[in-house]
Amino acid sequence: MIKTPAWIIFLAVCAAICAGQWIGIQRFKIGIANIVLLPLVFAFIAGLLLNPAVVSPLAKWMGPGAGDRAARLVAPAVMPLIVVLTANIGTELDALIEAGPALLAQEFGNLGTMLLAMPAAVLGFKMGREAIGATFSIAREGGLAFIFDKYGANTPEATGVTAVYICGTFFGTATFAIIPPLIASLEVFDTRALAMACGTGSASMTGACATALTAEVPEQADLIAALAAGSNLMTGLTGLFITIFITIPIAEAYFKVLTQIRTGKSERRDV
Amino acid sequence: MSETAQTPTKPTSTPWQQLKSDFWLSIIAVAAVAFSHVVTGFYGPGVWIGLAVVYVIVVFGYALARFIPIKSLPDLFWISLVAMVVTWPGVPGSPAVRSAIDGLSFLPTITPLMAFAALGLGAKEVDLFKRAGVHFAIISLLVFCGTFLGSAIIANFVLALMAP
Repeated sequence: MIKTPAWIIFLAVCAAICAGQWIGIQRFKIGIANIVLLPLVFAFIAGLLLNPAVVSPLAKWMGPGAGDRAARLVAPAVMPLIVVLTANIGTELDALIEAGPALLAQEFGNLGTMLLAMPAAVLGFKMGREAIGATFSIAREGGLAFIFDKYGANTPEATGVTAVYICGTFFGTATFAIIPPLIASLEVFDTRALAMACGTGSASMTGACATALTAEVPEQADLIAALAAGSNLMTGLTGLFITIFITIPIAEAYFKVLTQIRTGKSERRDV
Repeated sequence: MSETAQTPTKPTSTPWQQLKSDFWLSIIAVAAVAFSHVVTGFYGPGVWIGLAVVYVIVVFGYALARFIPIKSLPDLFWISLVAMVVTWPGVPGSPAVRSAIDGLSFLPTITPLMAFAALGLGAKEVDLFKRAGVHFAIISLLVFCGTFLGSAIIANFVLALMAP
């Protein structure tokens, strides 16, 4: 297999960055909610259009293995962002300690995932146990590894978590760049609470979310970065324990109840 | 994603070989961040110094990750640890490091990541996405929104409790 040279990927990335910057920050209003589309959303779309796996004629120009080559660069590309985000933790330590109890408590926000998404999966789309894998958490690397370990790779639970994981790679970061300014514009939430909620996803989701929030509340940039990064670290530390001891047992019970509701309903319909 | 691409080389390579590859991959990644800053209109000396400092921190973090083999800790952990330590108030030189990193801007730092991520999606992922279809996309959207909102609601509640 011919390896795509790194410079082709670099050129494609530069082209996608230019496209993103050329379109620029787009702001518009839907009702009272502000929608902010950052250049990173457009760079992502441009990247998809330059991906041979999506637009197959490009394979001729970029060579096979372009995707593999680019995939190996994703992790190194996360790192500068991590450095920029965590560099504020030390100076904002007082604010972090002050927010400590909230920072710990919001780790249980994962339960909101299930409450909202599992009924849609089980009642709406008539899913089986895929629903557990798909909705027990935000399905990043840790959750994926956990489900594969607990249920096995060829199980419906694994299919569910894999599908959401892949959707996350497609539009998770973009979603996390769009939701926060929208929620912030409702002016219901403390900016600090939103910054902490930014940390619940992967590192790139955290970065996108903090960036988007900063675009809305520029005067609190350092605090937002520190709280988001702090929350992301906390997710890394406590996430697995919360999953094992709280989320999965609740997910199993909730799934049973929802399935009963569904089958109960359909039986009544049959009568 | 990156896992699948690395599996053929990873088990046989020594820490030094891995570090060499991290070194080059990070140069490409940081170069893309540099390009992104220039395109966005940031190209003063502050940006170049900031990028150099970030690069050194990243490579140092990778070095720790390669030579301290604790499997459960991801590379991310070591790099954020190094970034935290060198910017911690009271650590010698930390104000200089912090002001160097402040030369960089969030937005142009994250844009290249999205471009790499979009280009890195393999045929397998695109296929599964087509098969899994719209249902999983809608579920995922609910999952992302649910996690964000759930966490924001709890945080907001606890912050409000602590306020008085």
